[in-house]
Amino acid sequence: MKKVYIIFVFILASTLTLLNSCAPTAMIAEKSGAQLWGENCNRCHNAPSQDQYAKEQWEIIGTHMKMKAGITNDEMTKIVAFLKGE
Amino acid sequence: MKNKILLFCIVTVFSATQLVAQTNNSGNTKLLITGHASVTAILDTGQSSFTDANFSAIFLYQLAPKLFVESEIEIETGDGVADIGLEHANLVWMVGKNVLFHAGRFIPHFGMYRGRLGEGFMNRFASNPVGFGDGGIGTMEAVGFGVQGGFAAGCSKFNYDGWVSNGPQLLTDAENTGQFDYEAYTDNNKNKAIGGRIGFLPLSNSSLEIGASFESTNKTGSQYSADESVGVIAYAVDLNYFHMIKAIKSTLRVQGEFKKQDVDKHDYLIPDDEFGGTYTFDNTAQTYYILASLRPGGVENKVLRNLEVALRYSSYKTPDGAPWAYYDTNGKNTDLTQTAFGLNYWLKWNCVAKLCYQMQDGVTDQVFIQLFYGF
Repeated sequence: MKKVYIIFVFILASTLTLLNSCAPTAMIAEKSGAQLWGENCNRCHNAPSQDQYAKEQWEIIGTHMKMKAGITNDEMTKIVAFLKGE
Repeated sequence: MKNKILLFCIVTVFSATQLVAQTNNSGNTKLLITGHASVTAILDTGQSSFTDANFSAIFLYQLAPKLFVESEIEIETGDGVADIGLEHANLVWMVGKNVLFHAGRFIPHFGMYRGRLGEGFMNRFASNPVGFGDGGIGTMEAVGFGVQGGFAAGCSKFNYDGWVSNGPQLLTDAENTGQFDYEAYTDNNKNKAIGGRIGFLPLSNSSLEIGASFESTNKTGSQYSADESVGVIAYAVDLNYFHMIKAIKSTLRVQGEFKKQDVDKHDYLIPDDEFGGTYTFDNTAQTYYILASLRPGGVENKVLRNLEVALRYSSYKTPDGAPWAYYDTNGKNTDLTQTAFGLNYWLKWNCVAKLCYQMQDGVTDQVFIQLFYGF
């Protein structure tokens, strides 16, 4: 059973590393924070407006959502900047 | 050895967060206290009562750009007393842009319902699908460590979560023999569970996510007991899709999840049997739910655009012979099914009033009324 685990973890790690090395397309990379906010927040819940939290609080929520919903670092950075009004 | 690694990881992350907290006197530590509160009433032929009032406080600390702590304390009253529990206390270290290491008590991404779509204002209903709430299957909360993250690949995206935890604990009491405690705070043996989920978002607008999860452990019984070597492996596949239908100015959501749990064959003691007799059963259970909702959020009428209709169907196949199995009126082990209709009114993006009519095998039809506020 341990061998199965090791093989599974190795294949998983290799696959993820390989996929992670694929660069996002220009279309994806050029998306604005507003667009990413609409697309990603609405995946699970209604998208909150900018005035719901203070600027510093949006930074904390961004990290929390990275954990909760698996959004990428680039998405988080752009969405937080949009919600902070930058 | 695994215990030592687990202990080392927890101590390392905790020490790092303590160090930052001690040296960070400039007020750079950021804190957000958020959470949610709800009150639920159930109406059926036997009752018309406010059954449950819950309050959860969520503490989010950004100690440094790469150090983060999230914790949730929940107070529930459904069992007649104020039941206070630590939902999670998760210490996070952002190792890289798309790699987060975390340790503590956390909600593993086993499927998408638990810890995400079934939580608070994301759940379109006041109840859980059968097999997904108390008495259901699949891991719910874990104590251990894990690695997770998300990244773009071409026009698609992936997210991943892998964890090592104490794992579920086998129950052997008369009513729950062969079931598991998925929320234990402490371990009952030296063995650890390994689990993970991969989420795939194939569409460039992130509107569709498909996930596959597993969790496996070789031992779930108490250490040195006859039940110790009972292993369990669980799988799940999930789906979450939303789409704005421009023709009717409405948002359609479709969600679903399937879970299966296979437990090792084992001879369980017959309760109160003076001769120490045993019995066994094929301990395999599976459950699924599918949900669809529609909200005309794009129409001009203020009342109409805050309304949402929802429909959910769920089914739970319990193992024949298990004391917690479902049997119909003919004594046959059949699938336990539930159908629910919902009408929700959104007071705010995270505050909703829910009205649900639920039909479930074995119980009378029920009406749920719930007010849920996120904050």
